[in-house]
Amino acid sequence: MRRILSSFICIVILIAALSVNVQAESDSINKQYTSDDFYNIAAKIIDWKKQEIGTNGDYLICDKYLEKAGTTACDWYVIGMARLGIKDDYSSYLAVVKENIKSKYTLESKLSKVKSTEWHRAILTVNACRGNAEDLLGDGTINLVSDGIYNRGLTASLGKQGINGWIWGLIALNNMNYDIPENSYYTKEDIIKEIVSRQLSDGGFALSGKTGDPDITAMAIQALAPYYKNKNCNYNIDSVVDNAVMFLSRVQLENGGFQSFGTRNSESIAQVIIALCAINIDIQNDRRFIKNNNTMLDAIMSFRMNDGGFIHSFDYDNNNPESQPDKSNSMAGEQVLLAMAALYRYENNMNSLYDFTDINSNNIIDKSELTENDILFIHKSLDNVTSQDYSRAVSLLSKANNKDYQNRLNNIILKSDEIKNIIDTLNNDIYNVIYPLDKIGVSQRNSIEDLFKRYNSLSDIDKKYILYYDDLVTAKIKAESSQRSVIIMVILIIITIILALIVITRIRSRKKKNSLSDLYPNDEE
Amino acid sequence: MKKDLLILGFIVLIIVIIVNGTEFQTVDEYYLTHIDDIREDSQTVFISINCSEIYANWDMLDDNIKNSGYLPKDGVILDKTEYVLREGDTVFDVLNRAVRYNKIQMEYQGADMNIYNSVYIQGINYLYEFDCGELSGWLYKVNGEFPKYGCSSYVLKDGDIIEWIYTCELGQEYNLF
Repeated sequence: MRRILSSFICIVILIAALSVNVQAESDSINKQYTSDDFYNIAAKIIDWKKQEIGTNGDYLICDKYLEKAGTTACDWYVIGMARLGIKDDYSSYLAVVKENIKSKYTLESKLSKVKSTEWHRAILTVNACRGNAEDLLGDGTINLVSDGIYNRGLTASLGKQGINGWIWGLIALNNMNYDIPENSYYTKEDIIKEIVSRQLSDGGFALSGKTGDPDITAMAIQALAPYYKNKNCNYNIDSVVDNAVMFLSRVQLENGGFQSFGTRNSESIAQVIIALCAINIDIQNDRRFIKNNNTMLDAIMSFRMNDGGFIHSFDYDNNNPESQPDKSNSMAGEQVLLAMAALYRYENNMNSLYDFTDINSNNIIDKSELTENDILFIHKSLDNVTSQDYSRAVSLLSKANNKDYQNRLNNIILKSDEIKNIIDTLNNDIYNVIYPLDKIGVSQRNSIEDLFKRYNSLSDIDKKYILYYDDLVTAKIKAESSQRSVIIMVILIIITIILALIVITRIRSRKKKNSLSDLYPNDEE
Repeated sequence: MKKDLLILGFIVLIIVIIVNGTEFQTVDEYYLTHIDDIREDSQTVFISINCSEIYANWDMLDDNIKNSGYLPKDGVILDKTEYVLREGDTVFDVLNRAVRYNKIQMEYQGADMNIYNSVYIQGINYLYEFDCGELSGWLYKVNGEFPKYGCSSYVLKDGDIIEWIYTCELGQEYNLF
């Protein structure tokens, strides 16, 4: 009995020890992440971003977010969320982006003088929100795909900013599998050739120099991915991609991560993940991308903070005491979000991150129901409209189907636009009048007075957009004190003259007296 | 006689005041209008803006820029100039003040408009990024080194020397878009 018991205990202990051992072993290999994990990591990034911009609503796309719609700071989060199928107010975002692009198109440079990537990001953003990049306004006037990709060369080279322009031009072209019409400035072959010709001898790609950079190499793979091992096309880029993949495998660090310009960082890993998912490499199990038992996920998760956000790097810059390596950062969060979307889509056998041909409207929330707050806004008096109301009015206009509301919103948009112009002109005039500050004198007093009047007629919110108010105050004081000085000087000169006259008359009268007393010297005695 | 001397003394005093161009200001006004005056105990920094590298890469320069008439012959847009360092000043603050005071054109992207969370300088004196080849643009050095941070994140200290340089061989920085 005792022996049985003891052998039983022995076995129990053995099993326990074994299972602990087994567990320890699987832990040390690496954790296998599931598509749910990727989704949750992404959702936490969105929560962090909401907290960062200060909204506690259900959706990231809120009035505050819309104010910066169409900038790099906002677009990539929207693209990432859209590819994860996260529900949000994409239609508002699209409405504001469209309006912004429309107004930028009135400038000669349109979206940018030199950067074609401004168009490429716009194409991805518009499509992510279910807009139409080939006919943005629905009236045939703005074709972002033509202006920003295949006919960009008519204005400036697609690659004026370097390899980025070619790579992202191709990614945006692949986005909806756009056809390039005949007689366009570039063919697809032209663009692919430009990218391929820039491959370095180490298999990588870079902005400059002879050594590959993981970020740019990863982006080149993302652009070429649709043509890799694709029997339906003959661009012969398979070996280009294979060499680039080998380069990435070779420069991967022992901790599973990557470094760019000497800094280990989260964004490089994110870009490589997106690239490898696009060519169907299983980054959790492919031996080429497991170093010392560490995967890219192990490395990228080490950049995650408790608030759910991510940081760029742990490196502390001694030159810059303000650098905060432990504070979550928007660029890191945005790129990890895109990497999570890529992994989520890979695990679920969906189209790759930038292949939007499968996109649908399921994730677009229906906000056609106006809230009480929205209706209050629509009815606000035009006197209270500020420049900040612009994006909200544009987004509500895209939902309102009542004629009266539409009219009111159009008026708010017009008024808000007018105020924006007033602010711009005032900023310009201030700049022209008050500098250089040390030359301010009496002659500028009236024009400075006028600038002040214009400043004071703005609402408190709009006043914040006046750039150099402090200098304007200084200029005003200078002009006033120099005027005051002139007045005081004049008074002093008058006093001096009076005093001088007094002295002169006194001296004269004394002289007279003296000459009299000379005549009658005895009088005084 | 004594009275006359007194009055004469007064006259001399007034003339001295007039000749010296003394300002009549309250203390607050004085502080505001003299914030940028350099005194013996002032903390200061130096800033210069230079684009001479384009002359070594003239072939790559955009034709519109060549004929714009804005390019200084020696590449010096702003010679090394000393400015008072205000509390918390970043490289961007000093640059912005210097170009304003000297009426030099500048265009930048605000920190909330991009992913770097820092101001990004696109053009100075009508010379823009990528105007001189795909690796051209504005970079800054502090005390001879290129910091890894955006100019509005770099807080300056007394005696720092800032150099804004138009380079045709960028590659230091992240250039995602």
